[in-house]
Amino acid sequence: MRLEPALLSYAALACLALSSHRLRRDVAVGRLPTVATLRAFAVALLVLAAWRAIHAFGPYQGPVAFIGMVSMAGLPLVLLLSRWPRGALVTGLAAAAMALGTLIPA
Amino acid sequence: MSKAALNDAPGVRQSMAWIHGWLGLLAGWILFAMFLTGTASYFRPEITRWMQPEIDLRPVTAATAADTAVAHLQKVAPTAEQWFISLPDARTTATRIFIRERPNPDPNAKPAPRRPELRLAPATGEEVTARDTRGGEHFYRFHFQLQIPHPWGRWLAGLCAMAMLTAIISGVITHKRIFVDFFTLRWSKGQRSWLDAHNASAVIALPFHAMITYTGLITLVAMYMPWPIQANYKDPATFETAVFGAEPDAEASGRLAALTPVAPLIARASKEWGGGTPATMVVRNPNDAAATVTLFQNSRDRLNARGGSIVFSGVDGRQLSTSPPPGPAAETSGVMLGLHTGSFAGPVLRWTYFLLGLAGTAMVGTGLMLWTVKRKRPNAVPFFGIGLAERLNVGAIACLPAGMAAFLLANRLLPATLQSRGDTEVSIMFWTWFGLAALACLRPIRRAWTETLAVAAVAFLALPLVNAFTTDRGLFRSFVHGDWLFVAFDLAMLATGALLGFAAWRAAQISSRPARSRRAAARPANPLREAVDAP
Repeated sequence: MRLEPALLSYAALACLALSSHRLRRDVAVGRLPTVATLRAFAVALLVLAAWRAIHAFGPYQGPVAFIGMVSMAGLPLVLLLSRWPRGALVTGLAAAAMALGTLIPA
Repeated sequence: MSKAALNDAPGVRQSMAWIHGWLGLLAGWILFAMFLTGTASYFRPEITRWMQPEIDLRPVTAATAADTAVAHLQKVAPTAEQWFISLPDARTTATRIFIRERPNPDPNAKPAPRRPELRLAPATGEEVTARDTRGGEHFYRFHFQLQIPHPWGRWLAGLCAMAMLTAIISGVITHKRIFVDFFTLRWSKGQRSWLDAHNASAVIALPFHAMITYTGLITLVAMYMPWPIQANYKDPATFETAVFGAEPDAEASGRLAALTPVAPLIARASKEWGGGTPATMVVRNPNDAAATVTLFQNSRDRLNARGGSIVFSGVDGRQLSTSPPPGPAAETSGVMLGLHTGSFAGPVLRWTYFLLGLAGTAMVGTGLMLWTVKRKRPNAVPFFGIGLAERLNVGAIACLPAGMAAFLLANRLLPATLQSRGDTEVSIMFWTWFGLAALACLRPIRRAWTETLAVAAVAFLALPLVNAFTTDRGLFRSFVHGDWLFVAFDLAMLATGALLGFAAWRAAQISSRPARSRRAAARPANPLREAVDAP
């Protein structure tokens, strides 16, 4: 699926957002993963997104697609975080699940 | 300069903030228009197709389109000097042809009138006619020529792009908490909110903003800085030949010879290009013993926007020459152009480009808003300069979209047979844009925002309705027939209208809020700190 890198990037950025001090305070959910864990997740998801981008768009357009989609994923995330932070993070989980779901049969 | 040195030198950051603010302001209104029309231009052929709803063609292969076009040209201009054939792709759908007549050998004869460009249905080669319009080409041209006579429009656009590049660099240096504030957007907090929105739209899409500004400048660099080429090549034609290969320039022999079928030539070129397809075919001296057929590669699926070309003999189909493989400089410039225009992009990447372009527009718009909000003191009559900047903000941010909507509405509402109809559409855009901006000056500034944004919103929301009443390709019918271009266009217009409507509603809320809370929200802090970072 060609939108996979965007979904993975969205999830990665959501992890990064959740590792920021302000948001950890705002979304009081039981026990959050540690900042280090979240950052490791984010990096792993970004690497996965880059791989899927190159897989879907080829070695030349792939990097363009990867950078573009990381940026594009940031826009709805920031808008959602500003109004509905928990929703934004749940959407991040859903995005990761959708993208990984398409990976498994492949 | 190292990070530690930057932290120790508030002077650097302060001067960068000053440059950022003033360059951003002075170039901002034009940059807003360049960003918005440039973003729309990612859908240039699609806008043109929407603006000529009479034309509804099914795509065919390049070979079929070339065959039908040549058959048509053999009928109407078998002895022309040159045939230009723009082959269709899935986005443009129609074949475009242009005929250059042989000059009359009698020096006293009047030169033949220039033949207009014609469009053909690629499957049949029949001429298709539609309402006269500039289509998506208008936004595209405006994006870098600004409707100002050549070369001044391009110079002004280049100057603004240079200001944009400077603003990006100075902005990055100014904004030291770049990653901490990455996800921060707070609503209804006056100046704070505008700063958040400006930071977020700028930082999230920073790679795009930097890339698009730099590649935009580089695209026209040979015009802005012609000297390296002038110093190395006495004659500009020598340069063109060195970069793009020699154009065949054989004189017609005067002996008749049948033109070779073109479909096999396309197959051979495609093989040579590793599956690439031709975008343009030029036939010189058709039906003459000296005939040549040149095929130019299209830029789909390649980052380099400038493709190669192959020249074939028009009599026996022999391959006569091939453009030289691009050198590093030509390759770089082609890739820069490709990155800027996104000509390689399929639907997913095209929409990505479009959304990032909107983020760029938002970055410029919020920057302009921030400049005035930051300087305005509550309950005081603003200085002339601030008042002027506010009026120009209304003119750019709210009135330009209204003008663009008026351009599209005019396309549907003007009679199809009107004289110079395409030019009238363009005039209507500018009259609406500048007229609305002038009218808005008669209203108090808060009301001006609400009213102009509301006008723009209504104009966009009206588009799908007007389209449904004036064509047979309304939203419902397009949906049923799977006419996805028209469905997407109507939905995009509704979304734009909704967004502008939301903006109008927010503006109305702010203007009706009591002055006291506004003052509290806009409480000025240490001005340097305000400009530099977000606590």
